Amino acid sequence: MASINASPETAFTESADNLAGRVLDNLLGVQGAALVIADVGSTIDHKSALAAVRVLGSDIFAPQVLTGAIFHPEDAATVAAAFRVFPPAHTNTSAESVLSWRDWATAQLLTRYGGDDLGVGQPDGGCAPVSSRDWRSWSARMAQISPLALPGLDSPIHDAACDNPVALGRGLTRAMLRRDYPTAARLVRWLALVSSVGGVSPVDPATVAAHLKLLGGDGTRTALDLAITQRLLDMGQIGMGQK
Amino acid sequence: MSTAAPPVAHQVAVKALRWLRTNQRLGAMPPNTTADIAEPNNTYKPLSENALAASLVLREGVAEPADLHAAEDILDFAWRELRAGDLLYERALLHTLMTDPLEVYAHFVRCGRRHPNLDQLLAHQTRLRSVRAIEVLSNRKLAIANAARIVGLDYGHDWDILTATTWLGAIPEPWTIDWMTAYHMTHTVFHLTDWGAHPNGLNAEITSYLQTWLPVWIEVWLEIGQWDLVGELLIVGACLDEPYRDPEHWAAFAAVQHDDGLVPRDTEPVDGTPEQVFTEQQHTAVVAIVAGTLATARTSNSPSRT
Repeated sequence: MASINASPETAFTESADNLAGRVLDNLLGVQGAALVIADVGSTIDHKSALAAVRVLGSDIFAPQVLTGAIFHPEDAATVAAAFRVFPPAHTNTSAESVLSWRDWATAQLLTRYGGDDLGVGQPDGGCAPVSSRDWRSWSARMAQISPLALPGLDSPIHDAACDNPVALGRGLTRAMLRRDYPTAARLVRWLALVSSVGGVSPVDPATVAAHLKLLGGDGTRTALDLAITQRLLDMGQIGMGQK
Repeated sequence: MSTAAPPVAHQVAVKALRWLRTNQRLGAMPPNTTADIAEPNNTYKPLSENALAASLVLREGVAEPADLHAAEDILDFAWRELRAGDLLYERALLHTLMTDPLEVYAHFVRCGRRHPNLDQLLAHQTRLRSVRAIEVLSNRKLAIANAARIVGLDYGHDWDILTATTWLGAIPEPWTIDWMTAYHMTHTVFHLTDWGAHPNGLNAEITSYLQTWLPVWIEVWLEIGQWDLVGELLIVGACLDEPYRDPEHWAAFAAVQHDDGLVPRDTEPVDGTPEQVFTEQQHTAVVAIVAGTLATARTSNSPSRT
């Protein structure tokens, strides 16, 4: 829980990390974590907690999507409340497009698991790399929308991921070499998803994920990305001939 | 990437070639150098590298006549400094297991320079089990194999086996490469293809691997200004069956070249005496000459030569 004296930014970050930790516990089956978004607490923490819900977005549903965990009505109500307090973006800049995709995914899963229909439509266009040289900016954007890398979501973003594993692998390799491990974890998650549906990754996502796990030290959200990656790998068929 | 060679590649090579010719006397052998060569990395190795660059300019023949003449001049200067091959001969005679006389000699043989006594000596040494069994890093073994190929000696090398023992031959995880290994990787490519003369010296799996990961490695080392290594990676791109050359990478490489043709090896300031500057920047000039020459020579439409 965020400290009462923390700055808003710090409070939001702490809340997001706390929530990521709860999702992670739930994904790993830790007892008592079934209610994911519990304890919205006092007034000051309430807003931080709702912001954390918006930050994690569809990642909140990872335990349900990947393990069949129950999504409680209280959690559904909190997600809906978070969207009321922090409404979805509706413009078309690149950054807001990222947010729009994340909002769309969250809304999709909220409806699927018994929550309100938030009326968030699928964003338009801009999903695939514009050329083979576009791997750097495109993969950076894919890392930003890694919460969409969950089974059962279907969109042009997912089609683009399946169609461009080399671009994802290049972005991943660049992130690894730059020691940008949070970005690497987000991209290996996409490659695990691609592998889980029979695609061939240009790098072995299991090896990268194991390496990242051993490196550690990049926070709860990266740990969550890696746990999701592991679940995807467990459920998937890893293509042959990977490096 | 199958675009034509960026014109800037040719300009980089020409400017670097002129800088090297202008400054090459700063890299002359110390007086009374004997075949033992106390500090081979100081002048002996750089002279050899200069000869390599010049030999490739002459082999490819895509430069203007004045620049081909500059390459001839660089080759001549290095040959004179090596006493027309006598120093190589004496060094090979005194040090049976040293491979550098053969490796240096190959650059001159590429352009038709021969030293009959050295030829005779190397042919003899080639028959020694000891010489054939010398223990060096895998990419260095390829350097010996390529030099032997150029000079016309049969060491009995099995190229497939040599390839398989290199880092690159393992088709390694591309996200593990480091600075030193990157240099090793580039030299594996240089020697397997004889600097782009035989693109099919790289098997299909390695070629595909490099087409996939070279763009990333160039980006990573461009970002931190490791221009010397970037140049080496650009050479690798030029050695592929379908050459890889991204105009943006070439533009970035060209942008750091000074007006006089010097290409800084990294982001450190270029300063000191002319001798110090030459010592520190000569290698990157060689790299720039080779990269620009091969990128220009190997158009995307040119068939593989072997």
